[in-house]
Order: sequence, then structure tokens, then C-alpha cells
Amino acid sequence: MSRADWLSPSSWDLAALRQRWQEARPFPHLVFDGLLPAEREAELLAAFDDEPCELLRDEIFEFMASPKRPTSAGLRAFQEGLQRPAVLEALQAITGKALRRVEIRGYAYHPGHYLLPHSDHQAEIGRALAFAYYLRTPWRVVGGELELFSCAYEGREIVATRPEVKIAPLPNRLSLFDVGDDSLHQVCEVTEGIRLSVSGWFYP
Amino acid sequence: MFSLQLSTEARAAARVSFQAQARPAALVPGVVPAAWAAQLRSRLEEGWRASWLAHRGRYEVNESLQAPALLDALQEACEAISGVALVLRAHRWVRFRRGSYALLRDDPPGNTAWEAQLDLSERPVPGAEVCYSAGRQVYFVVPPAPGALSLVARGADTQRFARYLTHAVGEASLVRLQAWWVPHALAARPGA
Repeated sequence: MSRADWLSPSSWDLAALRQRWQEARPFPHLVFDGLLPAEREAELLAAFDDEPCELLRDEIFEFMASPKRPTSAGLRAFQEGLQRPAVLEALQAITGKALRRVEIRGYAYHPGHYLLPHSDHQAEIGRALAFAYYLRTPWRVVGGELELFSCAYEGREIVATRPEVKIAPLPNRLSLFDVGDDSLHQVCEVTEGIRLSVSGWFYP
Repeated sequence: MFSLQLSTEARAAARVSFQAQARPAALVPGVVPAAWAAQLRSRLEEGWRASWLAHRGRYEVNESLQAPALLDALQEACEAISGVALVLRAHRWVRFRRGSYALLRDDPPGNTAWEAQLDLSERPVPGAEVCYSAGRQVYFVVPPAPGALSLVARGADTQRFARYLTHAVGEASLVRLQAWWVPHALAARPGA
């Protein structure tokens, strides 16, 4: 199969997706279900067996993650599939953001793993869009939702936050959201099963 | 009347440890009798208020309980450990339960007060560490230890975070008294 078989943006209703993106609250985001064909799902899941990973723990997270640059053929192929001109052009039509490349990393959230609320925005790094793709696994996963927060400001200071949207990590689903100072989000703690995902950012 | 359990030997050992650090800090176990801690937890129960700013932290605060005798005893203990006369600036009671956390953003740099934490929990809460960092490098960790006293002489770049408490902690809760002191302009008290 060719690289063109990973994603099929020609079947996307770009006008409708653009409207949903613009109207999404608390900040622009979309959910794509049934993203990959079955063969590509299986290929990506198999890549996790080949990809090295390590336990990472810091102030705001604890999870297993692959290297910052994927080493397995399956993950690299997924990255190339996301980076095809047709995909980038479709995402630009939806989000209004010019995109040129994507970074990806594999993650495994075991019970007790989490990623606390934060924004991915760092001006010097320049991320434009963030995404998470959830793999089909044999485990029943409890927790691990992507939770989006709204923020209330006084001047430049956040004085209140409220959880607004919870996106379940359903198999073969891709969550896509805007990167900005307002894009406060977290991955809720996993309490059962192992949540496997490939996440990363699109850059201009 | 509160009298913390801090023997002469423990004071001396804690002072040696505190003063030996490039960034002075000490942890002294078993300072608060379990019965007193239980009494305090009971008195605190009615006044807990949720504090949740997702990008900063999630925990409970009690700012209503007054315990001047305990604060006096805590001051005496901190002065014995540090060898420095201290003036109380502020204090509060905090409770961490499953899902609680406090990030570096909840403790902006520039607070150079000396920070004491008194663990009033009933039992150790798994993973409930408080981490002091400078330049994002952790240099001192306060583990969950009921009855323990920690004292940190904060620098201008010191920040603190408390680790997220996972579902593994069950129904357990961590209760701490946090107090902030300013070194008095005078020299160390003799015999302390």
C-alpha cells in the first residue's frame, strides 16, 4: 500500500469542518473518528512493539514515551502520512493555519499515569496545532480523556478555569486542537488498562 | 499547650544538616505527636475550601483555624533548627486528596521567606512529595511523613510543586500546616 492510504482528506467536508472548528468551545478543536483504514491501524499498533520507550516523570506528567524522533517504520510512515501535502492543505483549509511539518511521539499511559493541565504554546517553538491519535488496544481503558478547559481573565492573569469538554480516547480517533495561550488541556489519569496514543504538533 | 517533640540531639543534628546545605533545608521526623495531629485534623474539618485553578493547582485550603500555641511551638523549633531568630509572615493549612496537585506556577519565584511544612496526616500518602526546585532542578524533596517538620530557606529562584496524587491513594488525605518566616534582623538566639 502507498503512503496515500494512511489518511484520505479528499473525503472530508472541509467547509463543514471549518465551521465546526471555528464554533468549537472552549477553543478550536475537532474530533475525527475512523481516521485510519484497518490495515494501517494494525500497522501502527505493531510499531509500538518495535519502538523503544521509557518512563518519563516531571512536574506535570508521568507516562511512557517513545523517543522524540520515531525509530520504527510504522511510526515514521504515520508521520509521513500526516505530512503529505494533501493532508496539510486540508488542515490549512479547516484551521486557517499554514502548515509545513509534523512531529510525533508514541505514548503509553499505564494506570496512575497522567498529564496535568497546561498549554502547549511556547512562542519560541512555534507549534500551530496539536493532535492525539488513539490506538485500538486489547485493554479496557478507564480514564485517559483529553479534557479542555475554559479560562477567565483579569487583565492577562487567569483567575478562573473550568473543565468544558472531555474527549474519550476511543480507538482510531484523532483529536485536533489549536495551540495558543488559551488552549489549556490535560490528559486525565488512567485508572485501568493502557492507553496507547501517537501525539504531536503541526508546525508552520 | 503545644510542645513539639524535638530533642536536644535532634535539634543539633537538624541544625548541622540545615546549615551544611548550599540551599539550607532540613527534614525532622516525628515532631508532632499523633494525638495532637488528630485533634488538629478534627478542628480543621469544617473549614476546608476548595482551591482549583487548573493551570496552578488543585487542593483544599483552611484559612480560618487559629492555633497560636502551635505556631509559637513551630517557631521555636524552626529557630532551633536554623539557629536564626524568625518572624512569622503567614500560614495556612492545606489538604491534598486523590486528584490534588500544586504546580510550580502556583509558587512564583521571588518569595524568599523561609518555609516550614508540618505533616499532620494520619498515615503516609503514597507519592505525596513536595519538591523544591531552583532553575527547574529539584534540590530538596519532602516525602509524605506524618509528624515530620521540614524547613527550607527559600532563595529568590526557589519554587515548589506538589506531585499529583493518583487513584492509588484511595481515600487517604495529606494535611499540612505551611508557614512562612522572615529571619529576624537580630543574631541567633543563645542556647537555641
